[in-house]
Amino acid sequence: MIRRAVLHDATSFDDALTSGDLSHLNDDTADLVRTAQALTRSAMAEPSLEFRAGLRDTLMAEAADVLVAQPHAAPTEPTTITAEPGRPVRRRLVGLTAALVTAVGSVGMISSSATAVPGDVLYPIKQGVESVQLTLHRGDTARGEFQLDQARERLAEASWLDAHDQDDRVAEVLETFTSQASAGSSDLFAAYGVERDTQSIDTVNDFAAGAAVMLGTMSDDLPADAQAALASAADAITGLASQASVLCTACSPAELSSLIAAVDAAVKNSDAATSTSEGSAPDSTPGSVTVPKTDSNGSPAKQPAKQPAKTPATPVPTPTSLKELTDPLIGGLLGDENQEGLVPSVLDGLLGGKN
Amino acid sequence: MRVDSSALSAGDASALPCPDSDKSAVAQADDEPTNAFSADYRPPGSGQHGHDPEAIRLRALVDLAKEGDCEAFGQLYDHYITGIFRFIYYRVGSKQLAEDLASETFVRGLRSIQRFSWQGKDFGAWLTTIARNLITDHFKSSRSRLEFTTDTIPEGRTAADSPEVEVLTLMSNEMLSEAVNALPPEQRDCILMRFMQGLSIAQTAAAIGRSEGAIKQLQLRAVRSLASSMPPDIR
Repeated sequence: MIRRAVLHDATSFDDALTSGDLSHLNDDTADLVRTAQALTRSAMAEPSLEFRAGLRDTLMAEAADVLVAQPHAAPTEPTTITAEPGRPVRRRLVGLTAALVTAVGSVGMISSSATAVPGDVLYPIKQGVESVQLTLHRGDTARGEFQLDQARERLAEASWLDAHDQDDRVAEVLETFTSQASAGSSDLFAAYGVERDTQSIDTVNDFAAGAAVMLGTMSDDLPADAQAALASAADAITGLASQASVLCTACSPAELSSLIAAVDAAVKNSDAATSTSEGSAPDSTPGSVTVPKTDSNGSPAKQPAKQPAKTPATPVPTPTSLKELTDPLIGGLLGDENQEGLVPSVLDGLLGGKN
Repeated sequence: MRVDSSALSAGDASALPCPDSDKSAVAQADDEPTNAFSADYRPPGSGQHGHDPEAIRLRALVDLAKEGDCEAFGQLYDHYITGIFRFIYYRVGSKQLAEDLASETFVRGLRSIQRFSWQGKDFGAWLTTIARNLITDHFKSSRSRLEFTTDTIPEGRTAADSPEVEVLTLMSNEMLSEAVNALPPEQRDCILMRFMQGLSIAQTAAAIGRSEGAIKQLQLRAVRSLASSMPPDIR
């Protein structure tokens, strides 16, 4: 309140000083205005005429050397000559320019970040953009498909890192891949449970087949942690394929067959890597599965279907008949010689059958 | 649209090609009917604002000078020299020293004008900032301290005043300088810029680096302090 009153007094004083109208002021303030007016009237000192002329001549002589002719500043002159010369116009132009540059820069940066790989400066931006994009996807199907796309991107990044001898980041990327693949597939399975649309299962199967191909092309000389992550990813793919086959027995059996062979190769590769890392001769393990190397362009040197060396030693049963497809489902629910089964396990838990 | 400095001259002042301009500064000084720093300028802050023709003319002159037009700078000099001189003179109290510092102010302004940007600062405020810094540097140096001790007494009126002015003038330059320099630094500079030099509130705010509202409050405090330090008969 006091501050406002002070500002009001100061404004009234200045207004009276400018207008010369003291009628609305109290006596004290009017005296101050008169003092200021006296100050202004008294300050009459001026430089001598000789000094003015001499300095002007000096300046004009120096100006000929100092003032370099510059190109006509087109943007500024109209604003100074025309009736709207003030700072606001300039500020608006500066603001608009800054906003435009920021927008273009942001778009360019986001666009550039799309091709970033782990370790790049722009990679965090890529991750941030993906997170935002994920929040924009509504519904299990949309979210699941987008997360599988993200998982594909992680796999491509892992393959690129592997091809460019940047193996130290492969493990982390593969772990992210596994997480995103599981999350996306889970969403799609949930969508299938509600909508019974086989497209959701087909999407998972296609993803798993593609992922298995990519995993199969990873080199066999990855660091131990990357090998473990690779094995974990392969397990996840196998699990997804199995779950897909359980949920939808009529979904794309041919693709599933190709998928299982490739996934098994990846699993075997990871097993071999694990045994190699545990053995004393890491790079000469007899009977280890050779994984096709990528060529100089980073693309697979061989197609998975033409890789006899990747034929699984203990193949996962290829679902060529309805019985073979339904058996895992029944086994998973009721149990068989390999597993306890979901129903017996739950009943044991409820009735205290175990322990 | 290209504007020549000759078209922007005040009154009948005609710009001649630089550097052969033989136009006398005295003659030009007589052609300053709207000079914000001339003796006719009253009250402070009424010029240099908004869209008045004089402000537009000055902006155009600055732009032309930045592009290399010597005569445009000459006209800017004619416009600002009195105000800059007064600001320095009432601060240092010596005519000779004020002329030296005013010379240095304009030389520096000339050498830097092509780097001058309108953003956030009026040209007059920019010149005043140069002068203010020069004064500060002057008082900081030991040489200037010695000089000040021997040349600190203001020299009274320097211009040949008319009898009317003599009668109307209430305070001598000596009294003014002493009273103003007894104020705290910001109040002192505010008084110098507003009432000696004739800068507007906006220009003073730009030169001191404060908001316009802060300058209005500073101005009132400064006038109050000054009034309390002066004899009642003068007030």
